[in-house]
Amino acid sequence: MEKPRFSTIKGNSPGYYALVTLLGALALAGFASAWCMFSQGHHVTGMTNAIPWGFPIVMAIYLIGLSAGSLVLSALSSVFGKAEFKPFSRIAALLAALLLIGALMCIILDWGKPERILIPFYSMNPRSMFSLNGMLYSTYIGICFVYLWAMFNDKEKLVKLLGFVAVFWAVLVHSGTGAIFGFVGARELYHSPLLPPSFISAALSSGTALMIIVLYLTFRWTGRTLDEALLKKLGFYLAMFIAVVAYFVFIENVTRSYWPANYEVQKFLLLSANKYSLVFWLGMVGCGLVFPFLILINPATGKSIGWILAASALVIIGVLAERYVIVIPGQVLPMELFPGMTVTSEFQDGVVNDYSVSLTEALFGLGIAGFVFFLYVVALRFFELVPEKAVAAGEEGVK
Amino acid sequence: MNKAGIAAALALLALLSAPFLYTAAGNGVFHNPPKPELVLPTNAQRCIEPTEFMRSNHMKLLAHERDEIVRNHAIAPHHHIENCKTCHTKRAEFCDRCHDYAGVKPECWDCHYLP
Amino acid sequence: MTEFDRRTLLKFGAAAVVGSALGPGITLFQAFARDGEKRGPSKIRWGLVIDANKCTADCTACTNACRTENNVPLFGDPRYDGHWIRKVTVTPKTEGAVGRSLPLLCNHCEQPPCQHVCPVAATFTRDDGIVMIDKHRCIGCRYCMIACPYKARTFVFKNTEKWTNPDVPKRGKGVVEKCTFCAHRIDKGQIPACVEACNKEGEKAMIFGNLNDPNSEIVQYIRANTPKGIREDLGLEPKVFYKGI
Repeated sequence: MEKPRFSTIKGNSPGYYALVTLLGALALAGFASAWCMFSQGHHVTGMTNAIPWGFPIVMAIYLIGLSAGSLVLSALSSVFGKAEFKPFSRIAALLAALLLIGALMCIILDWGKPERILIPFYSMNPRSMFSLNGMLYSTYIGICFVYLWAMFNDKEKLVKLLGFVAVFWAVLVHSGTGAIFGFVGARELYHSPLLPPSFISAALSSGTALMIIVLYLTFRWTGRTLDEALLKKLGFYLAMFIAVVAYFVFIENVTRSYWPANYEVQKFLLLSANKYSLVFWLGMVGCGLVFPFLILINPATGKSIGWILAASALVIIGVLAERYVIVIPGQVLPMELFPGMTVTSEFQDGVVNDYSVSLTEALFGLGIAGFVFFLYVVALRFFELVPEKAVAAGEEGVK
Repeated sequence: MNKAGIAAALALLALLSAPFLYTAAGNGVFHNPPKPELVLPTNAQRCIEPTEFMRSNHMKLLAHERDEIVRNHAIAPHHHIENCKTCHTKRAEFCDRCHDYAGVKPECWDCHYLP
Repeated sequence: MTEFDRRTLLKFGAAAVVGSALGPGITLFQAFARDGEKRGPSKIRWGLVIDANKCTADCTACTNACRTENNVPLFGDPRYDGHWIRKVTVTPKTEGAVGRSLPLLCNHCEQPPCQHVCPVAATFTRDDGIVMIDKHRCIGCRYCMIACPYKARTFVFKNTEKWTNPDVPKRGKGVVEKCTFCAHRIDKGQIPACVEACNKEGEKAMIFGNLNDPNSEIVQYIRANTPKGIREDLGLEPKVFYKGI
């Protein structure tokens, strides 16, 4: 197979400038709401003393997940020997790094005191999952950039080695992120050893879905050749990943539902007419698992690019819902201070709390995502990221 | 380096220097505010350390002592921010004058009491 | 790095910097040698026993005293109000059962999950067993609020404006706060404000004391009455005990 030739894009069309402006404006809106949270205090968000973690954290773990899928796609060629995916490796590695930078920004700007960013560097608690993850994330970004550098300079052996390291590190990063929640024994809906592996699987499905859409749009808008067979193959992988996520979701919920002490919790999450059940069934199960899986395994729709793109878009929404289900319902439910008793107080004890995403938080999350893609689009203009054509082995690409 | 690159570099430069330009424009570039005059306490002849030392190191004393006192439960009768108040009773006449002059905004008074 | 290493390093570092800047004779090192005396390892373990049989529903002496003593913020919005100690009513789910009112505060666990999860070690256990937050170091990530099973921690959503007690700091936004067992009062040899108020104005339902001292009132009481901690099944070894729950 011939070596893919990479080149920068011209980036002088009105469409390109419009896209850059749009994403830049989104990013500015995000930074404005971050400034609002910083200068006013967190009462501008939907968070309360009962729900200390809101949409920024949802967005952070969502972006971390997206980053994994990108990186694994990048490693498909170097580590798993799928040479036909080599043309995507640069885009994928860059997006992996950018998405993780976005995730770190989400976390840090959500702090009550983001100006104390230097404190974690000299005062750290090695027992804290947050602090371990901080190290994993920052090294992961570093690995991504070194990996990119090696690819730009055609250092084949180094690329292969770094590909292995990056995949290994990605597993650590995503297990660690799942552990942030899974290790918390105080909340029934968090405390689960399944969270790290299920986090990885959802990361793979959302990341692959994102890559399908990003690759399609990038190649289409830059007028490069992209073989549809490659996207179809990615669609097949996506279906596999969705099946794994579905398995984890099923096991986790069946395990919890089986034990009588958890009836109340599971009834609240699965069988009540509230927004959390809606997000669970329609968002996480519907958009994230069932609809896209059916689309992808159905021979009539699974071979059509339009349907694959639709399935990917559904997965991207569905996994956001999944992250929401990880973070929010565990806090909405009151903690069992006195099991078997009813507890009331002036501090919302024993009350099902309410959380809705405020405009500030929504803009914050979207803005950071916009910033990530702003960086991506600008990088396309300056670095040789996109191959002139990407074709599956033995076929001539059709545009 | 092409034109777009140069433009981007210039934009970055402008962005990075914006805070300085903003301050310069606000103060007038050659504006030199008068040196601050402090109202010194009358109930004591000298501070716990010589003036020169305190001028350059009070923040280190406060920061280090605060770790010792809060975290290590140490007894440090002199270098405690609460003890500064026994002499320096008016923040506006002492602390703030230099801090305003130097443009330093410590967070101490967000929480600690000194009127 | 051990605590000893870190502190020695800091001292030498500071001494070197200051010494070089000021010449001989005046160094930070000297200053600490004179007044940086440490208390040394403490054998004290502060604990609290609450007799839920004595505590009455309409008495709020402890919560009021805490608010006044510690400037605990009230913003007039229940979502953001701080609570270092709060009264909860606990009712068995059986038909016609009567509720019981009791105060709930930070349990100062021997195995504090809030401290375990704090990424910057802002939450720490003092040598006398009090779990405290170093607000100078807290970055406001709120992981501790997620990890605490007692909901003992609140976040400062806004700056507060006034001190009711100037000895205790008011609140700058963006950090997490919680009960300190009135550490500033303990250091002066007093007992926590809630206990004092309960003894003076309330129902005398609280006993505060040293759990390591076999002769103290609290240890005698625990031996005689075997009070229980809340959610002892979680294994956090809380140091606040309740009789009659």
